[in-house]
Amino acid sequence: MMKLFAALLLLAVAVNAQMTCRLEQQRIPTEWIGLNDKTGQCLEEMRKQIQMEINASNIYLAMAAHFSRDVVNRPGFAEHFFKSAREEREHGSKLIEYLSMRGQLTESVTDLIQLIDVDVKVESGADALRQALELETKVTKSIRSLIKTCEKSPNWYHLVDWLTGEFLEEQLTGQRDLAGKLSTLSKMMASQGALGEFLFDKQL
Amino acid sequence: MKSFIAVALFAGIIAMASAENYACHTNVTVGCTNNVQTPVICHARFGGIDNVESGIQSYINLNLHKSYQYLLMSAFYNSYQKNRPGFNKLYKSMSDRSFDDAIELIKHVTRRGGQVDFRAISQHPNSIAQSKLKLEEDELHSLGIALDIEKTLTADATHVHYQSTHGRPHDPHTAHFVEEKYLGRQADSVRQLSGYVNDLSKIMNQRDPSLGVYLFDQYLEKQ
Ligand SMILES: [Fe+2]
Repeated sequence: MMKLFAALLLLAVAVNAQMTCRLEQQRIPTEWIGLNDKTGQCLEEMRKQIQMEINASNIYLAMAAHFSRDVVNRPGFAEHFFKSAREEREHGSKLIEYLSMRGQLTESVTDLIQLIDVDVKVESGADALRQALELETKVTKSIRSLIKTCEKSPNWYHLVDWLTGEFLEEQLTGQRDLAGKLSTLSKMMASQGALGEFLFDKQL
Repeated sequence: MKSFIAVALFAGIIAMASAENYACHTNVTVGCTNNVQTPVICHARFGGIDNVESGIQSYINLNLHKSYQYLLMSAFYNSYQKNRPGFNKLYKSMSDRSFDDAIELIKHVTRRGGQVDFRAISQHPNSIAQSKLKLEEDELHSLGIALDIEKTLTADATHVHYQSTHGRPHDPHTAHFVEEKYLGRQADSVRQLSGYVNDLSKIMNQRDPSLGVYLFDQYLEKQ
């Protein structure tokens, strides 16, 4: 009897000293998150938008690598696209932070981002600017359709405002900047292409 | 006689050391005399770039994959349910670091006349999809994942270093670059994380470590 008692006591101590890895989930109200069927579609598209920003980041990274090559030798373009790659990653990161602020991403974050294969073929500096402008136009369209989906639910009014005020703003000024650069470069290259691109790269 | 041999040997060594390859000059000469339409191309490749180029490409891909895994881990700890600013900060800073590393490595390999592309990045064995990693983990497990990630990154850096010192020809420039930029810092990072895991596992070695994990997170935030 005594032995059994001692064994039980030992077991109790052992259980007591066991590692507890998973802290108990505390119950926090969820009404403030305001999630229902109508808000789900917006969330789905937000997740897609995050992936789109990361894809853009990788495309710009590939372009930057191209312009860094010795046989291409356009350090101005390379730096420009390294900067763009950082900005796109930052956009993805901001969208993620927004979702956290709105009570999301408490689970299933693993499948939020995948690195997909990127095959970039760039013929010249002007070609790269043209492709970048195309890409940004696509992103802008995607943000507009995201806004359209999200404004259907009052829960996402704030997101709609934020996307319109911050993201669209950056898209529009970014597009204008790319179009301006492409215009200047095209004019510089009108009769002396190689020299025009060389000079443009140095003042980028 | 002996001194003659010595002089001859010395001359031979000098000749070997300064043996020049006139590839670029020849290219220019051919290009100019034949009046070709396409411009003359000369390249920057030298030393053991052929031996290290693929290893650096792989290290770049790994850094990008790990950068986004860390980003997602930091996002998870930024949720209201986790709400761990210390863990969030730790993983975000490691995500940023790996992204910066990828860019530095692109600059290194292209400085040496190499090239980089992302046409097969999804196939990397350490992508989230390939490694079937689940990032929604509790604090202790996530530190364990981070330690494993750091060791994987260190192994890749060491591999590039090995290629640069054991390939023929050697590539001392790449070896130096890897040593200076990555090896020391990775050793620090591995050591730091192993310390974190061991500290936290001791803290958690009791029935209810909730307060202990809170304090540990506060500590991480101040780092
Ligand atoms: Fe963007």
